[in-house]
Amino acid sequence: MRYFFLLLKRSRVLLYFLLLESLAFAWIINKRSYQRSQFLSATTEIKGNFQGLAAQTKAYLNLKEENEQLARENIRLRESLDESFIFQNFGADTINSSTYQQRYTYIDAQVISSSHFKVENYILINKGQLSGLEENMAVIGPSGVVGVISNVSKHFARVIPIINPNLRISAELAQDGYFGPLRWLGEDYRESSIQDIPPYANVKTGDTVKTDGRSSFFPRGITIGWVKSTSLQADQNFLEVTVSLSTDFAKLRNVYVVKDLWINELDSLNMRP
Amino acid sequence: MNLIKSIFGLLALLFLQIFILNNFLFDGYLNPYIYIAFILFLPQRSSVFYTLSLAFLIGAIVDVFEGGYGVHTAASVFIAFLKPLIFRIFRAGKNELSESSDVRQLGLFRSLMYVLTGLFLHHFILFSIENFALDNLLPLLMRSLYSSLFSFTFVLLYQLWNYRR
Repeated sequence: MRYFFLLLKRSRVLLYFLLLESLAFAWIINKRSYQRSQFLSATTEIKGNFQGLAAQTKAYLNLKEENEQLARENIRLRESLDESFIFQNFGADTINSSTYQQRYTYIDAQVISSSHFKVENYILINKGQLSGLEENMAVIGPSGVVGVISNVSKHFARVIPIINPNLRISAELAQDGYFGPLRWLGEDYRESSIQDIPPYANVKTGDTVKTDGRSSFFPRGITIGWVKSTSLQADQNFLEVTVSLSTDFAKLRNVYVVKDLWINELDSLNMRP
Repeated sequence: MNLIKSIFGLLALLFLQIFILNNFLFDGYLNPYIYIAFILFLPQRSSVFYTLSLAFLIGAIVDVFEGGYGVHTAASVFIAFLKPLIFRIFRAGKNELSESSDVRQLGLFRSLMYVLTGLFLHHFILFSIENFALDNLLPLLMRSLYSSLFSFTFVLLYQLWNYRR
């Protein structure tokens, strides 16, 4: 017994070191737990308040570029307005207004902090529960898909962008219509890849990749990026398509949160046995 | 007085790390993490328990603000544990003068090498834990090397500023 205590005394530094390390690793490994999400929404609030200040000053420095980007988007939207089309209807038709129901509304928000060089990247935006944001809402940017909301606090929300390996969404090739899961491989923030495309699909380089209606997060037809190259998967049975992403996560500032007005109806249908 | 001074130094380092360096990433490779310099510059006489606890605390603070979930904590505790060993390696061949400061004991060149080695090991451990795998070792090593060199310049600037006061 005496030797045991002597041993304990001798290796006390090592034991203390191992204790601290195991605490740290427990923290790392438990990061997907319920406590984490609770803890996160509290720290999200604190961090958001601090970083909102920094983001405000940065926003002033980028005003010119942001304006140009928004102007381009305005042009695109204006082009799709009713008044941009000539209405040629020479017969007398009734317009069935119930066929034009609104499904999605958008809430605009600004990015206040983001990362794109880590393996698990996250984005913080400046709207939260009080603005009607909820978990699992889609987030899009001026040039395409950004990600999905993972946590919300009162005034802020945390977004998992598509450049985080934990998020998978369904992507569709615009020309062929084949679809597969879009998954980021954790290397370059400008690229991602789609798996499980059938080998007989005629995938062309430069083809647009869009969200597809199968994902319950995103509206159909929002640009994800363009096909860069294709290669055979490791299992030799399916193609893997490398996509260059349309959203530049290095300079993302304005985003829109998509609110699906029909989500309850859809969920209740999915719930049914 | 000395205590207040070092607490102020620690706060300045953490502020620099959390609110400035974490927001600026230079190219894909360069993530400077300079908070570990505080651990490396602690006097060698100080107790190992004290060093380990302090490393745990500093790492935890950086983790909370950066969303690292214990990655920084694990890495900085590791460095605090290795610190006496690294110091002893660089002191090899010099006779011990326990009264003089650490920089005086090592000489300028060896002190710089000591800090650089500490920074490199910290970055390497940090990035490996972040990846949770050692499968692409070469990019990991390059990234650690560039980032630690980059942090090193920041640490030098910080020390210059510190000595002038």
